[in-house]
Amino acid sequence: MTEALLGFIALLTLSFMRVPIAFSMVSVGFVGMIFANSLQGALSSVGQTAFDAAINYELSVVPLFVLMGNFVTRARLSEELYTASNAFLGHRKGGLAMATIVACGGFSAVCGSSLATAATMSKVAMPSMRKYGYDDGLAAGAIAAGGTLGILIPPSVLLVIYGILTQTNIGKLFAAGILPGLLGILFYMLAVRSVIAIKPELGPPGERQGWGLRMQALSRVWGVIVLFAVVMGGIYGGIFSPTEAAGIGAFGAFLFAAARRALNWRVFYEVLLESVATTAMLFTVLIGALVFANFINLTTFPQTLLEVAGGFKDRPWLVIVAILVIYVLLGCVFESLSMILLTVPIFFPLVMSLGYDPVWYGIVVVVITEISLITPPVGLNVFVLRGVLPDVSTSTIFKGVTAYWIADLFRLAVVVGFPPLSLWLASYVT
Amino acid sequence: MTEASEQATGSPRHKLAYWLGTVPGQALAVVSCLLLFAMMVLTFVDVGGRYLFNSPLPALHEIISFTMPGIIFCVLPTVCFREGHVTIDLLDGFVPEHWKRWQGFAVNLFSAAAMALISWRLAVRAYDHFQFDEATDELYLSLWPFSLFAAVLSAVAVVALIAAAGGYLAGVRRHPSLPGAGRA
Repeated sequence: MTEALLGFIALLTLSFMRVPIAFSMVSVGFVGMIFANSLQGALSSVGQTAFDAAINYELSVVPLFVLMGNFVTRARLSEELYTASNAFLGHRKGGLAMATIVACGGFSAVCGSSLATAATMSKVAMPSMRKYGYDDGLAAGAIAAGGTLGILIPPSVLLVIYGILTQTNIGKLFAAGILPGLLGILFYMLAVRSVIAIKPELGPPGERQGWGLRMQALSRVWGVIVLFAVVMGGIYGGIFSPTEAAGIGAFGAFLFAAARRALNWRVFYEVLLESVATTAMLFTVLIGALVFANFINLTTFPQTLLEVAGGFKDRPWLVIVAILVIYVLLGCVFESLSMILLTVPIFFPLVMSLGYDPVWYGIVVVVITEISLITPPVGLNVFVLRGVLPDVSTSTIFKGVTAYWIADLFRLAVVVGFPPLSLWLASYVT
Repeated sequence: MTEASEQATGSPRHKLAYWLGTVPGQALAVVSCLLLFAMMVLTFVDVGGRYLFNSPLPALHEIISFTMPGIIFCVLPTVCFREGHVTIDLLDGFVPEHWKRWQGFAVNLFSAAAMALISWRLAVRAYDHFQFDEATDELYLSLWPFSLFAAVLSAVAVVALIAAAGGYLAGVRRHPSLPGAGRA
């Protein structure tokens, strides 16, 4: 138990000193294993973990979905999505912010990354909201919050990683993410309505568009619909495995980008390089987390946790609440992937011992991670926006995101308290 | 600090460090990109072949599994040299300016040591694979070239990290750069 706690302290200290999290985890895990086991055991564990983590068919879904997201981003599908949602919602009070959220949700359906969703949508939605005199905070908040849907609405890179870590069916996880994602869109729209009800001047209405224009705008989003239908329909219907779906999705997105002349050789190479660099970064963290988890599993820490949780058998929700609090705290420091890789191996057996569903827990973890993406001080989505909109201050965006953050807490409560919301669609996946 | 400005400044020795940090890495990154593209096309062809012509590609499962380390380890030197790994930069505002150079130096040297550990253990793994003549399940490919490649490429990443540390020592890098490539 003491070794594990010392390990966590060492890991945090090194990481705060700016050592990359992956290398902090490898070194602490390695030294920890020497103490908890033996030098020989620690040495062989590092080599085996690094090699086995890299050679893994299931994990090939990660680079392919990252690639798909990067092609989609370059294919400018975001513009059509925004035009369409704007045609339907723009004339309402706060309508452009609501349109932004719906467009973010649509983009999430073809992109598995929250940061990419926020970055892409900000380029499309922000200029138009500014044109109509929207408050910077409300506008940027809509993009930062809407962007978080990227990791919940399938495809989702984080759900893939969770699925592989816990041996949970990725198709089921993807299906389970759909309804909580739609609920997220609904709650965010309610958040905009509430803000506008208090301060109508923050989000003035835009122009009303006739049904002819609306239908025309809607017909242009067929690209997104086709990609989503093929990828999710394929997985849902059991026609392809997640890796195959990701390969086909990436190929489809590549064809879209090429057909729209969005690709020249330089852009094409950039897309590939970005994707492989992200993949390598994810895998280094993965290898680090596995080495660290090997160390933790050699200590009495997991057993102690299980015993403590066992004491709450008649009130298991208390354990869930405790875990959620820990996630919120960790989310203030760690970025999403490191947080999941660090915590899931520890908490998953605990949650399973209390009789909860693995698919449901995956969705809970991702929803709480979404919240961490817009929580100060780290709130990565906010920093992405800050990079794209240098003239809006970080505190303005954090202030603007508050209403959405509260909406997220309500959604978390619904997802935690009402498991069928996640499990109903998942039950149809074989 | 962009790579171009880093290249423009610095003595010949630092140019060598810069060369070691970038050129092998860039060449390998191209290989990594090609492998990813090939993986995408192969998956597409495989599914197409299976449903349209009832003839999937043989042993694709294994080919893809063994393409993964190629993709990851080939681009690793570039990611390392660009300091593209996930870091916690919460305390950046509190670290005095004149410490940042030394922080960058120490962090990269530490990372190089951790990476060297991985590289060394992969090399030992390669030796084991060679000695016990381990092979893959479907295509009966020898395992040792894969683990050896992973070890060698990790060693190139160690060089890239040392070159990055050297950049701080020489003063061409002053602040640890912002986390590079996109995140999930």
